Amino acid sequence: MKNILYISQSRLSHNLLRALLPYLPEMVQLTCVDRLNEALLLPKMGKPYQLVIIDWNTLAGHNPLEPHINDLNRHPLITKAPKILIHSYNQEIPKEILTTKGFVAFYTKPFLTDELINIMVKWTKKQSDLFVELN
Amino acid sequence: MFSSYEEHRISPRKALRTRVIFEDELNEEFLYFLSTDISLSGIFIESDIELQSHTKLFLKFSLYEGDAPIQVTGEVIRIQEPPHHRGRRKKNEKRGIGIRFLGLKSTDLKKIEEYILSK
Repeated sequence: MKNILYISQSRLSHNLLRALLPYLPEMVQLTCVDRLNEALLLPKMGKPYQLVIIDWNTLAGHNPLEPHINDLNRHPLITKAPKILIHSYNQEIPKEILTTKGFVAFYTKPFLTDELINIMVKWTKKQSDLFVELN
Repeated sequence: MFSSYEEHRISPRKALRTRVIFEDELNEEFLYFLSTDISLSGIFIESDIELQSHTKLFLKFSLYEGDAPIQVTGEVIRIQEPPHHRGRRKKNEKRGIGIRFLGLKSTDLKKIEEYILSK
């Protein structure tokens, strides 16, 4: 089973993402939170997240951004997870800063359902491959 | 007893191939689907996933490329499974989802009416 964390202020998007889970090739446990601060309060023991999807709507108000991402990266279940950012097409994203903080990809909304499913499959698979290589 | 959407339909409809964007409560676009047709009462989209009946959604779509989008709340009222061939779903066949417009603005209703009546 894959473990994915989704951070977005949009509860509707939480529900839409949940609606996609039965169509993923593997079982996924999806944890949704509204804000970065809530992610920091998630249990620190258990199975690490294999993917963290963050919507820019949770980061946009944080200035400077780096300390908040550093806090997130210190969470033991999040530390090693690849982070991907989703955002609207007209938003300016500080990709260089985020890349240095563990963000591996940036995707522009909206998505076809297939596209969003493929993103989740691609990045959780990469994480599994990495785990096999390291062991 | 009638069971299909086709037989219940009271509004004329017309083919429409356009992106139907689902917006979230922050007015940000999140998912999009392709429509197959439209009527004055709703729009039909193709979908790989099943949405629950009575789910309410914020929709945005244009009737013509470059037109100002129509924004309206929609409610899922019908899930139409793809036709099966010898008990199996044909590859690449998608299910259809009928969405009813809720509170469509009169100006947008007029636009859709003109679109449906156009040749």
